[in-house]
Amino acid sequence: MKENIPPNRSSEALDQLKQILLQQEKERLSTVEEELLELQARFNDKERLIESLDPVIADLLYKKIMESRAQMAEALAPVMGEALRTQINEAKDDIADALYPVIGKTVRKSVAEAMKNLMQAINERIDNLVSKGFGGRKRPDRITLLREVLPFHVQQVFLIHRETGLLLSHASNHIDPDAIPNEDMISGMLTAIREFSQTAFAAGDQSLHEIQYDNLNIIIEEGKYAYLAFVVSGTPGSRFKEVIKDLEHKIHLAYYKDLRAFSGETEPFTPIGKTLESFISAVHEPMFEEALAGQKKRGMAPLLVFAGLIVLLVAALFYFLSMDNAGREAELQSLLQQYRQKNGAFFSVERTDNRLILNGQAFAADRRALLQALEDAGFEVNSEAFTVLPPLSTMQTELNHVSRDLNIHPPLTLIADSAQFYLTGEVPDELTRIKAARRFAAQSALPLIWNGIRVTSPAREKLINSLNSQALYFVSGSARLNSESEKNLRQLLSRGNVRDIRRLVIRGCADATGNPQRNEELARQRARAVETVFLEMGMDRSRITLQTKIFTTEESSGVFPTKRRVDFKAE
Amino acid sequence: MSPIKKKICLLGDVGVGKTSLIRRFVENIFDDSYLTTIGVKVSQKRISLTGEKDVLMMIWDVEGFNKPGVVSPNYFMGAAGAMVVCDLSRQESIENLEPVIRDFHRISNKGKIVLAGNKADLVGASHPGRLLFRETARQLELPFFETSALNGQNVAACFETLGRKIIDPS
Repeated sequence: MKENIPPNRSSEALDQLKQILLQQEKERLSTVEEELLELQARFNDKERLIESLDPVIADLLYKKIMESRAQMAEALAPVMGEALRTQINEAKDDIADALYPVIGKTVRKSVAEAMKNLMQAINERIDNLVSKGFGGRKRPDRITLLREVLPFHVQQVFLIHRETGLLLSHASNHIDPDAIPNEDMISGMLTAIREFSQTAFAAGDQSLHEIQYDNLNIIIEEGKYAYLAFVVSGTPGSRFKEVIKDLEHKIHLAYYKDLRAFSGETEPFTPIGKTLESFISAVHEPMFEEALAGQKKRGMAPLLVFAGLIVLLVAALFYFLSMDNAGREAELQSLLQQYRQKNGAFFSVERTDNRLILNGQAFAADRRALLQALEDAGFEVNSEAFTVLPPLSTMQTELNHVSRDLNIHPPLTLIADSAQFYLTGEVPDELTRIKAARRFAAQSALPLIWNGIRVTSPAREKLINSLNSQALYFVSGSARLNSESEKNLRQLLSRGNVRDIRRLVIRGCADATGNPQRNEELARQRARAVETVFLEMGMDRSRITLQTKIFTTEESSGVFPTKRRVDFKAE
Repeated sequence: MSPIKKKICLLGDVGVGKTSLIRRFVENIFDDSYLTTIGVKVSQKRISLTGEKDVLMMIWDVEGFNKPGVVSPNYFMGAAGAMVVCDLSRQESIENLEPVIRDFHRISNKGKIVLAGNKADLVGASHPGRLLFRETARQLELPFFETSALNGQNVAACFETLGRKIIDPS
């Protein structure tokens, strides 16, 4: 059946149908048109185009370069070369500004490295020459002179507690204290870096001895409880290691107890600061400081310093190689040697032609005589830094005052031996020993004193002697003291304070009759039973060592009558 | 008068906010790159305690790990105490407090401990993390603080309590 529909209705219906069928296509077309316009706009706008292509091109280039480096290099070289040439020609200043931070640092590092290698080569050469030419005897002074003009400089010294990384003492030659970064934090980080290297490289007992940073070196000298870190510029001579080892050893010797018991109080270590400052002054090389000062003032620093150093080196080498007046040289060496052997004398000599600069200390009479002798020999002498030591008698008087104040009888004695000063004598306890040394060190202002004072206490001596000459005996087959030994132990402990014993070995003994394991156990139990008594009396467990001994049937019981015993070794 | 110097460690899982706590508290600090390079960064703070000598705390901020036992024990050597930090919004970091403390005490058996439940600003009063933290602290019998490096809540108090504990052996 067919319906009659008016023409205008038919057209509306067709439009509606078209709309239904083509709506989606229209929308899609419109979106595509918008996207096309956007793409055109992006293509016409250079910055937006670069922004779009940048990640793609970067990835593509990276991929290409990784796949065929040689081909890429070959393809890019002419273009890059030309581009660089053009850019450098057109904007020299800009290029220089851009490269300066990198190139400047690289040149400085390279110069420092070259200088370091040169110094090491010279040091080795000198060592070889000297050992061949002088058969291992003490080096002649011209070698010392040559070493002294080499550019080596200690800038800072840290004394750091090994376990905690806490700073115990510090010295620096910086004039401006604000220029030094926080030394406590440096100590902590330095310790952390050491721990890190130890862990990272599974170094076990080995540890970090040197860190190089730009043109500075941090040289580490390790002691039992603390380590010294020296921040140095330049290359130290081969004897530097010996010198710093000696310094570390002396610090440990003088402050052993404080270092061992350190719990955060740094006041006991205050005097070390002066020692470290003296050390920096002693190895300080003035010419190099001037060069460094110049470096700060002038922008052309590295090159000028380098040139200056080269001139110095050439001059020094020239001096070393030229032996124009052997007799005169021999006379000088003989004079210096003669006075270097005097007690308390410690000095170095810098020489420029006929001019000598003396640096160090000596007693007044020796100093006067040496200066006179040098002048008589025709040398021009600068003795401003050659200081006079107070007479030994004056220092002994000061020491007598210290002894009197601390109630030490007989008074302590000061011995001058070569360049070293030793304190000797006896005091009743460790605290007095340390107090006496520190008080004298502060009054005398000597840079370094060996503390050779011994601690002797009559009660302690008595206790130690009794322990070393007695044994305690046990009931057979048990770790129980017999009644007489119990009484003896009580008497023994009443002779002194067990806290005064520095080290005690308690040896538990048994005979070999019966089961060996049981005997070993019995010997251990006997030693422990006696140890318990000492611990109860307040002795520190860390000072006690337990040992066992099983006497075979053939073996004699030694100086004591029976093998079922505990004997001692006390200090 | 020179202060008593003490080393303390700052421990805890990664991301609990240890470094932010330090930033809130200390006066001298190294660049953070040290932390990523060698796993530790040292900072410093001097605190004054009533009736006591000043304490100069050298704070070793030890890089955090999600797994206890990974940190080099050498870093704990000689530490007088530790602040062990967790994130109140992360349960796992609270559960890791105990093993971290165990690791620390293995090396520094006398070291004093204070617990810090950080990011307190992120959790409500009855958040399960807050309750778990309090319960853990009570079980471990350790002093604890709910801290916020963001607004500074309890940060100074936490460090000062640790400072007081490390100079008072009782």
